Amino acid sequence: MRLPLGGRVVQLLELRLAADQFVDTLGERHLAEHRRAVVGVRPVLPAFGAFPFLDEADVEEGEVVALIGRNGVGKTTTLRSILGLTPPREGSVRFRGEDVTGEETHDIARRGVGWVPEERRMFTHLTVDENVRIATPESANVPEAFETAYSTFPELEDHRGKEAGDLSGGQQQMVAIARGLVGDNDLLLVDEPSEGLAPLIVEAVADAIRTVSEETTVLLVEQNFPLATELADRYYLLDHGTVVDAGSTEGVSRDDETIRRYLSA
Amino acid sequence: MSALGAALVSADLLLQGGVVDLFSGLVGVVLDGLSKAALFVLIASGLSLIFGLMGVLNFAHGSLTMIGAYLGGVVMVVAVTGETGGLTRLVLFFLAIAAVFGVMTAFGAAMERTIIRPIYDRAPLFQILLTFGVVLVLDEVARIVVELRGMQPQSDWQAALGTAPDFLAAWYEIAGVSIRGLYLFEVLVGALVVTAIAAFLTRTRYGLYIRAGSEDAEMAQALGIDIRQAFTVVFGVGAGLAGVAGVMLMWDPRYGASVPLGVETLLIGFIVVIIGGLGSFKGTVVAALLVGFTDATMTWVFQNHVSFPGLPEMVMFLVLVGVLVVRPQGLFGLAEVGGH
Repeated sequence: MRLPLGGRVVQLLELRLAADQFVDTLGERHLAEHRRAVVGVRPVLPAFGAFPFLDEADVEEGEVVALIGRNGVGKTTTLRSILGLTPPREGSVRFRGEDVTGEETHDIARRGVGWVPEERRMFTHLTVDENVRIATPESANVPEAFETAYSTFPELEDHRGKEAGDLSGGQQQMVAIARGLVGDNDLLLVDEPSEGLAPLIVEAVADAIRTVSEETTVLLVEQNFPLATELADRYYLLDHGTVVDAGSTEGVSRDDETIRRYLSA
Repeated sequence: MSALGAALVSADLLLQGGVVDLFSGLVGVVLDGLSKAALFVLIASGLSLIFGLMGVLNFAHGSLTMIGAYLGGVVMVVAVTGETGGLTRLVLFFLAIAAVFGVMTAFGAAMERTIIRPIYDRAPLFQILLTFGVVLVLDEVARIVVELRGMQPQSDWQAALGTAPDFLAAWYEIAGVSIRGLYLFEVLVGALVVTAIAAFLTRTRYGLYIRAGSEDAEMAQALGIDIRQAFTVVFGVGAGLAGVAGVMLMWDPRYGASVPLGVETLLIGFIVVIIGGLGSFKGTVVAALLVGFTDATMTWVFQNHVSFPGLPEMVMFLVLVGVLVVRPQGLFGLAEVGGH
């Protein structure tokens, strides 16, 4: 189900990334076995060697879009490319119609792109409050940000003064999502939120993402296929550097021919 | 009774005399230790903050102190004449500190922007080689300039010594011990700087950025923080503090403005930062106290009991070795620092 804001579909994010983006930094070796991912479906230009240059992956305002695929196909790298942490070697990232390729990470973040990274990346020696405060934009009201964070995650309220490193994995994930939430973001990049968490906690985290997605557009990377399809409106299935399948998550099942082929190890 | 009584009385007297000696010795060591600790914390806090945030071990830090000493001396020697009154000297002195802080902060920031920035993502060896190269350049430039002025680069700059404001040159009596005004002033500045840095790190938004960036600079960037700017600010302020330490060392008879001052203070800075734990400001403060008191105690032992001038330095290194054996990450060090 799509949730276009204001009744019309607004394209928020558009990706055009070169396939060789996902080759390791040494670049010259292991090309064959190194998984290359490209978000997009239509080859546009012949580019580096045999790897096509692809485009057309987009995220529309209000959507939850999932990137799925096996380990190492470049899902995380795609998110890092959007933030400029792994700047695209070729290709472009457009946010709200503006080309943000090559911009500094903090500038992209200030445009309203939030990151809930893999392994949560807490500032373990800062308190929960400080983790939330640091994610609040300078112009924003800090008490309001606390209010938003702790009303969304009441469980964190009791731990506000604790160092984030002392929290459980599930609580840390909530802090990570809260950081994305108070950042006044239009797009939240959520990477493997269920990784390493007990099933019960995963359910709580899924609820949190559902809550967040009412406010914000979400691009989700998730290994857990049922969870990904449950949370997302649309998906892109990645393999060996390309998008091999895309569409609405409605009625999609793990047993579908294409999906089974690209997800099974 | 008489023999025993006389013996007791003399023992008592001896003990009293000994206690008084011991007491004044102790006060002397404490004051000496505090003033050294204050200098050490000034030298080491910049080094520690820079390493904590950027993961760069700045070998040129001592040279910045040395340049600060000469710069402060230049301001004072040019401005102060024999007729300059006490109050004017005092004002000039604070102006010299402010000027050196400003110039060295700008110099540090420029250094970060131009030569340190391109090598953040390289292996630590590159940073060590680069900053060591900066040491050679700065020390050589200082040597050339000093010699052109007809002075001895190896020995302390005497002309600068005479420019000290009265309250620094005067001696004060505390609990029966005479102490230079300068040493008291060093303690004051050290305490002020430690308080200011601690408040900056824990109470301000920018301090929060620095603490976060020290742990994970990439995550901080992704939260919209311009961490490169923080790098420049921290490098600059670290250099500025090193320069301010230099201004005080210039008058300090235990140090003095000379070219070798750079290497001397760098060594102390490293000892303090490593003992405290790289990247931990609290560790730096505690280690500065520890090393300052070790130095003061051993200096006292050397002056009163053991005829071995290398004793204080040797014992400082023994403390360093001891800490490294027991706690390789330092007293308050984290397993991993340098958040980028």
